[in-house]
Amino acid sequence: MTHPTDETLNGYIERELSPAEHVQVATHLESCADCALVVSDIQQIVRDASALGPIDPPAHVWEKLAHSIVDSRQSTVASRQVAVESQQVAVDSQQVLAESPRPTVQGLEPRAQGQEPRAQSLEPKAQSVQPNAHSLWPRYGWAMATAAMVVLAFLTGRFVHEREQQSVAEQAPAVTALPASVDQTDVRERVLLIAVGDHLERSQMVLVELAHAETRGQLDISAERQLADDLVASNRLYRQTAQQMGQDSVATLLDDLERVLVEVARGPSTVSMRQLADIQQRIESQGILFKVKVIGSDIRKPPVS
Amino acid sequence: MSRVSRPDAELVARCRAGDSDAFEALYREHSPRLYALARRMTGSSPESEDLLQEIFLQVHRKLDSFRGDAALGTWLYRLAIRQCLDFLRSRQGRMRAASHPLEDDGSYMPSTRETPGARIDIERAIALLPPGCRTAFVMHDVEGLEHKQIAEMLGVSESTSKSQVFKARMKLRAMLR
Repeated sequence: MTHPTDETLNGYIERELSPAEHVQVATHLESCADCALVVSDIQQIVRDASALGPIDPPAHVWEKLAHSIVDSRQSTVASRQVAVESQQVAVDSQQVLAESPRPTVQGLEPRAQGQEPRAQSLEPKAQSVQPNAHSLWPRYGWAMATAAMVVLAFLTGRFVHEREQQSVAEQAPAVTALPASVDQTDVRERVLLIAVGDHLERSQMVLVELAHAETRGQLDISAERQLADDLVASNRLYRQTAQQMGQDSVATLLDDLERVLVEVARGPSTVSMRQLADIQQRIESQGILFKVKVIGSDIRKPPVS
Repeated sequence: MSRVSRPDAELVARCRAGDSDAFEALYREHSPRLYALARRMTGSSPESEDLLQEIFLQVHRKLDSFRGDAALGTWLYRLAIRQCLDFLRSRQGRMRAASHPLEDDGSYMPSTRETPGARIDIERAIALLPPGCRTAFVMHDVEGLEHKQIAEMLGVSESTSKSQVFKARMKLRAMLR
């Protein structure tokens, strides 16, 4: 007697055999206890498997999860505070940019003359902070403008700091030429946050593209790779600046982001399904896209008065 | 048309509003099914706990994108199974799989039935399956997905899915006899 193969018996259970084969196997099972036992065992396994139910997770899973969610909410609250701080950036930063060259001309002639042309040359880019101007800028033009604005802000801040020191030494009244309400450290922080907000928006575009990409073969990610490469240098600058200014949450986020950007930038232009999954896992496992979205959107959100 | 029941819609709305009690209620209601899925797919309790936590972090992050086109449970299940597959595809998952006690050589045979009761036996036996056929078996025989769906999710052919399920059944039979 020829026994059906295990595959045939499995096909019999799955009802995937032709009618003729099905009848043939059924007839065989009536007379073969061994094959009937195989079928019976497999049918039992299928029944048992389909009857498997939910399993209560250990209590500590919820505790850890709740803790993680609280952490993410605290991050959101912190970023909302950042949003409030950035409320007057567009106005204040332009105010500083507009006003800081004037006292330099009055108080510190040689240095001011050295600084003034640089400030003026960057001034039009600083004006592009206004929302309506955003769409007029090409993709990288906006990045350059924000980076330039940050540089300008730090140059301005550094210059004013030096000027204040010199003014104090000379007991000069020039300090009063600055608006009393403008705290240079605050302004620099705000300018940084505006720039970081825009940087996060561009980074988010790269991360979203990669996180949602699908392939069963090879996928060309050269555009995302190039963009990541462009973002790495500015990310490093913003991170270091944030660290220097004590913006720890922003610095931490940028540190996490930098690792992902570097990985993409230094990776291949074409990735396999597995390599893509690795990148996506990296993005997912750190929750980096979520953090970028939350903090980025909060920074960019119009402040509530 | 929304397929979300009113209690689910209210629960989602409260979660979106930042109501932590609502999110805990959502977790309590759905985590047993998703934890079971994660545990059977990974074959590991510690990994499935991490995976469950990651699944619900994703739920927390993505709840705003829930449009109600499917029932909440279905949406959660899809998200969870995608997360499980991502985990299994990940480098970490592959490394752990490489050191799995049972590979595809068919050599493993449990010395004794560890605990009485067929269901507990089959749970333990599923955990001991090689990762490849375990995934297909869990998706087909436990979760009830069609081979076509499994093939699409795993990026393999339907015949490969059928072959893996068959292989898993035969290994389970050897372990449970």
